[in-house]
Amino acid sequence: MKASPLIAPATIVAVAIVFASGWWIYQRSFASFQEASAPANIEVTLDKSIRHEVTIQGTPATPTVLADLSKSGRQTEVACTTCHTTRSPQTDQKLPEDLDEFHQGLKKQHGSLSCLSCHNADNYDTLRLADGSAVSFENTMQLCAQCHGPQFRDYTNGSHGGMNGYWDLSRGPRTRNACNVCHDPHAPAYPQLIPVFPPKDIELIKQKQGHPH
Amino acid sequence: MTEENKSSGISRRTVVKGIGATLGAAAFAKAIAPLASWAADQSIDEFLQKHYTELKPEQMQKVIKRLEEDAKKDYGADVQITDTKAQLGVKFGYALNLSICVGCRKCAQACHYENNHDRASGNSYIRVLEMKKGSLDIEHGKVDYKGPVPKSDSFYMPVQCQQCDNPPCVDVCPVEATWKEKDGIVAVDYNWCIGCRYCEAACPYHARRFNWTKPEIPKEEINPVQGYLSNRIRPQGVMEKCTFCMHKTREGKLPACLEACPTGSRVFGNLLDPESEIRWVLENKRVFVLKEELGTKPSFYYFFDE
Repeated sequence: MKASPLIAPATIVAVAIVFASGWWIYQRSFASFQEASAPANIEVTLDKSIRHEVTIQGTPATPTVLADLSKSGRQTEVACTTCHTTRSPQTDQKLPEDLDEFHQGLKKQHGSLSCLSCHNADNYDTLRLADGSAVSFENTMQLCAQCHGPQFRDYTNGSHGGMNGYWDLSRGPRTRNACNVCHDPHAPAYPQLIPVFPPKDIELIKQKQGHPH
Repeated sequence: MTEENKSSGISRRTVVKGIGATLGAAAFAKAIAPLASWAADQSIDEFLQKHYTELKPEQMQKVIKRLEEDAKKDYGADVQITDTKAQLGVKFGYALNLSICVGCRKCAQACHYENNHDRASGNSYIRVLEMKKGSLDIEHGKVDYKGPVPKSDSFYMPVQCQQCDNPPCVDVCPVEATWKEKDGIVAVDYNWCIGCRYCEAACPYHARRFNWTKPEIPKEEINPVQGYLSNRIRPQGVMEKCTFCMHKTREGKLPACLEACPTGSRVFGNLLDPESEIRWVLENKRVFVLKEELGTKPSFYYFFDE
């Protein structure tokens, strides 16, 4: 049987069509995988010369307590040192419940710490680090960081604590919360709260009808 | 017969034709009636508007002007729509710390207000799932949990668009109305979308939403800072999705859901900047992505503390 002279070119065309359509299907279906996994050689052109500030808001000021010192029934704000300079510290009293006067309503749920773990008996207008050195109330975060190292590490790397402003500090400033904004130093566990904004979306309707998906 | 026809002047055939033509015209008029009312809602410019990627800057200015006028006419609100382009050297990444998320849903609420969602439907691009500790079955995550939260036996997982590097929603769009921007955001051209909802079905994260109705928002609650590809008020019948608050983040600002988060469980930044917080999380935390086995390559990461 004599081969038709058209068979050779026809085979070439058929193979070409198969390859071309294969390439086309590959491009349509899988090329995006390759593109996505290829290392991105994008030149970083961010201007890092300007760095706006990160402000920490909500650090405590030196506290005062309301006290009736004149026995007139009128309470006035007094500094801690007003009373504490004239009294010697009661080191055996570790809980607010042990106290006969002042700070009685205080709720302390902070491990086995006692008052003087953090408060400075030498100067009650400051706090005391574990090494005995005084630290101002404005710098409370240093005090917290002594025990809560992982949290402090996360905080300094921007992955703990609420913030506002700019992710790109070359374009604007950022505000961050101090520890005590969310954590009461005397009872630091984050409180339970009622969730806002009940959802009304279609997934919820499906759940209510008893078939999750 | 021939004589009779001639005498009446109109043949039976002509009468039948006449009736047929009248009925046909009536049926045609009835059939195109919705088109007429649809055309009344849509200007010629809107109908002929090109795809986002084909709009020249001066055409875009015209479109934006028209949209701002529409917002004034329909909602009585003065809005400013911008079209900020992706910044060179920026690829957005998001990480969420499941160890400190308390499930308060403030992120979903912030999204609702920031992105001009329809008030009645309570839409939000974020859905917070409540799951029992020790499990990670997001298909059975509870959406309508009630407080107080966090419950001691549960954890909370907010899910929004994962801005995949291999997005299935983009692959299925028959008209290329959704695509991946250079900074990693999967964007939607609301004026090009035909509302077929293929993308909604394709997304394994249930991240896409459909505008069943024309969004209704009181004038004073409309967020006037709007982006063409993000939070401008969407028309009825089109898809929408989280854009990582493109109108904010492309200006260097943090997204609204992050700013609303009271615990700081959300971390946002530039994946290409080795000094960024997001990079620190990826390099130092135990990070995972949702449904990794699907090969979608999300830009949204979840992590636990040690």
